[in-house]
Amino acid sequence: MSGLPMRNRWRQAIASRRWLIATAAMVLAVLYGELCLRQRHSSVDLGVHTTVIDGQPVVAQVYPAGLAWAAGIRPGDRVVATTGASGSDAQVNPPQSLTVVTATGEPRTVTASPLATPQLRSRWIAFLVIATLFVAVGTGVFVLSAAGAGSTALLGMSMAAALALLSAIATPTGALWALIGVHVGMVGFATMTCLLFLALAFPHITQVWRRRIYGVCTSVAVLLFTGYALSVLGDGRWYDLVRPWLFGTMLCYLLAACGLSVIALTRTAQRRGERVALKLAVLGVCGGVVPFCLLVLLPGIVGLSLPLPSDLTAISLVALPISLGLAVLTQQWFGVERLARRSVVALAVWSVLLLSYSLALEGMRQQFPPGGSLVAGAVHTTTFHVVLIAGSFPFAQITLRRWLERRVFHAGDPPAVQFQRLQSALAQARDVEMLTATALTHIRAVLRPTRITLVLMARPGAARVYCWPNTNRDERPLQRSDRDCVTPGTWRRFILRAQGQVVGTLAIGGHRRDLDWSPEAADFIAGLLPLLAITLYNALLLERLQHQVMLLGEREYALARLSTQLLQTQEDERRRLAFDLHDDPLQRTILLERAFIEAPKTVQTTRWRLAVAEIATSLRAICASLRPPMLDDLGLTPALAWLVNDIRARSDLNVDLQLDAQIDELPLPTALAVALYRVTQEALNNCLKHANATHVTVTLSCTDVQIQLQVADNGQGYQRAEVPCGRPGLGIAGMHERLRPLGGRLTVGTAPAGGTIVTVTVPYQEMRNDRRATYGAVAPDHCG
Amino acid sequence: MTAEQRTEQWRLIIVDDHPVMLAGTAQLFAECPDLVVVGTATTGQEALQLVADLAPDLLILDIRLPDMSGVDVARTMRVDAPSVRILVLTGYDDPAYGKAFARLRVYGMLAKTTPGSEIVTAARRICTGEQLPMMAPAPFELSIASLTEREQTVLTLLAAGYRNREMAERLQVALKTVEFHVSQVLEKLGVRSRTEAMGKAIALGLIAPSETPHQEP
Repeated sequence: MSGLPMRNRWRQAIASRRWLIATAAMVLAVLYGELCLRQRHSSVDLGVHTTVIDGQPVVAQVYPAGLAWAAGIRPGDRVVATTGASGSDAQVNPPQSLTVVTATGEPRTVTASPLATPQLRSRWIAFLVIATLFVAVGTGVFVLSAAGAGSTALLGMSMAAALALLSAIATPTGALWALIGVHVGMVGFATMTCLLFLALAFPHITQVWRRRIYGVCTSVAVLLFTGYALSVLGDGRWYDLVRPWLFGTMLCYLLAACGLSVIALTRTAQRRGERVALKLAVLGVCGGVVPFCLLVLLPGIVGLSLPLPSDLTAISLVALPISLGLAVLTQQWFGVERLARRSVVALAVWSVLLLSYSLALEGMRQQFPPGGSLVAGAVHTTTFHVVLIAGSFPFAQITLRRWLERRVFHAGDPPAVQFQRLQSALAQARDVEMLTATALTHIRAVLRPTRITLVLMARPGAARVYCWPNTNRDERPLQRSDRDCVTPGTWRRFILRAQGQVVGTLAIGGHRRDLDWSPEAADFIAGLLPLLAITLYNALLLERLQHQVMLLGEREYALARLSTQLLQTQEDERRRLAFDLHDDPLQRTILLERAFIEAPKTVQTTRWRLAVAEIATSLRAICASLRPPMLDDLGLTPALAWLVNDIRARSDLNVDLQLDAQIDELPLPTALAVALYRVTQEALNNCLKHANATHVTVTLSCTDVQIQLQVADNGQGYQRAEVPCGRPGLGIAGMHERLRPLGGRLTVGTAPAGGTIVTVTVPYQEMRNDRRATYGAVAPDHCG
Repeated sequence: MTAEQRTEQWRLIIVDDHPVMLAGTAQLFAECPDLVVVGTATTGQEALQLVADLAPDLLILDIRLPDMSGVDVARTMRVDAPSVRILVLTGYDDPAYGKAFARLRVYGMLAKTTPGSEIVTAARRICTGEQLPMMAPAPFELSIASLTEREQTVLTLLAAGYRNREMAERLQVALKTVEFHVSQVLEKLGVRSRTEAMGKAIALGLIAPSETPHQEP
């Protein structure tokens, strides 16, 4: 098989200089045929040389398979009589007739028969026709066919057969070169026939074992030629030994060819075209080779006389080139069919155009007679006509021909147009599925293959398979064959590469009617491959990206949930701890304190009372710092007031708390109250730690739809880079996390005066519905 | 005792989640024939149920209850049982609570550390509260008198220019405790900063303006 199956045969033939070889072979065949035909007119050579030993003329040398040899004359026979030449100048004037007595005493006579008999005439005409057929089929198939080994073998076989047949035209004259030509031709024919069948029936084996097969065949041929050369150079006695071997080898070769073709036919052939080719080959073997084997070769081996004249038998060989040529061409029929189609159309177009041009020229001739001039003598009318025809004819014929071809053969849109359409369709495809579906549809429309398989390397180690006709998507582990570019049988497999990576493989079955791809289709596929590769690459990349974005989103969601849950857990824990501290230790301390108060006052009890009171205060301080009780009991505004007071107590910061009067009216959900409280706490702590401020204003305002909290200081301003500890904005991130489940927004900005402004906006309307969402179930204070 | 006997007996319900505290409070009224403890409750729901069943004259209420806040109990009773008077007995002495309970028409609010006799007196006054409707809780007026001993000490130190940390070292208590004290002081004095507190302390005559730092009054 050819290494570049998608290339156009014609172009390939031209590029590979096959046509040069074919032309050379045809020229050689014509020259040789001319030589052989001319030989008919020369004198007859009996193919025997005599010498004189002891005064007695003796046959010294006999040409193998020559006239004398065929008559049974062998070297050493005594010459009894010669006619047409004297014994002394036999070398100059060959004898017309020779009578010898063999060693066993039998008389043998050979006579130069006249060459102008009708029988000989019909013989050379038949041979000439068959040889011409062989040459035509051989060279034609060689040029058109894509099959490398098969077509070469066919060319060799044809040329060898032609050599043998053409030489056979000259053999009646007994010329030595013609005899050699027949011999070489027959050996070559047999060898090449065997090779051809091998190539036709077992292309894979031929491909793999080509060198060995050629080596064996060449060795055998060289052996036979050597034997023949020895018999020619010697006195001709060797030929008796060589001849059975020669015929036997030919018989083996031809029978092997028959056997191979039959075996190949009985083997399950997948393709219809392959079966047809093999049937034709078997037909050719039966019609051409078998009669030749049975009627010529077999008697030649065993030494019997031929039951039929070898000329007649050779005519049966004509079946061989025809059937084999058809067999080879069935697989490559497209080129011929297309050529014929286009020829017909071109003929019609040219006829019509020429007729129109003639009419037009005739009209113009009358209007502007030739030899005249146009445009005030500046333009010659003949030049005008020539320019007009030369300028318009090529364009007209090409346009008309293409139009007609499209109309007549329903060729559909040319692949170039289809390619453009495919480009736009691919550009509009959204995902991998759509892309592959589009690509498969267009490939089907243009190439009309039996099957298409697209294997995509979707992920490392996994392949996604798209098939037509079965378009179901199938995902399976990557197999070794997915990445190998093999071309088994009719499949053509291409690797889709983009950005240096293998995206997948595209395997396209043969044409539905076993046609070859047109050059436009080949261009289509050549353009399609990189386009499809890069598009699929991008689509797969996008798919992977989307998947990762989705994963990231899920992860972010999980993180957000986790952080919300952590914050809530922390809040619950603080609340529980504060309650626990309050409920038992603080109560007992208070009881103790009361006991000391009611006890008789001594120095000791006073000191103890003060100590116990200190413990109670300490416990209260811890409880309040964990979670101020008024946040649960009284709501947000008392809690904020407590917070602000705490800040005031802890520092010299002037804290201004401005509360909207409406806030107390609102039934704030506990979750919202806690979040706002914690955010304010964090903002005020930041203010203490980083802002270097002297005054802070906390403003809480509300509208019907949202609550706004603002903490503004007069410090050095918020600079992300200046936040110490190398963990910029961790507190701010915490505030964001607090607000996230509530849908709140937090912005940190710099006030015009230079301080930092933290602004929190929480939608309130949405919170009404799930007011008891989280952070404990204690209802806030909304007394009116 | 007999002279003080009345034909009328006031019926009390005490609500406190801490059993020892509950027992202690109930014990206060054991020797008062005119104040009879008819029931005790440890949760808010239980208290509301008792109030509905027994219809007492007075409810002595704690703020911190396991199921609901004392504020909620008071709010509910204001609607369901408006005739029952409430005396809040609490561990918190934050003025914010005083304001909130005043709005709920609670008749009195006492710290739990208040001596038993004062609690009994307050209860009796509330029970005979026809003459004193809407009585404001006395101990939480914003004055120097409401400061505890320790808070007064802290205020003095504050006025003397002590920082919180220095106070903590001097008073041998945790910083958090000092901060809590200062916070209470600021709240009770109704001032907006430590500087204002200092001024207020001088104005109230708690400390002399000439007094030097690091000196106990």
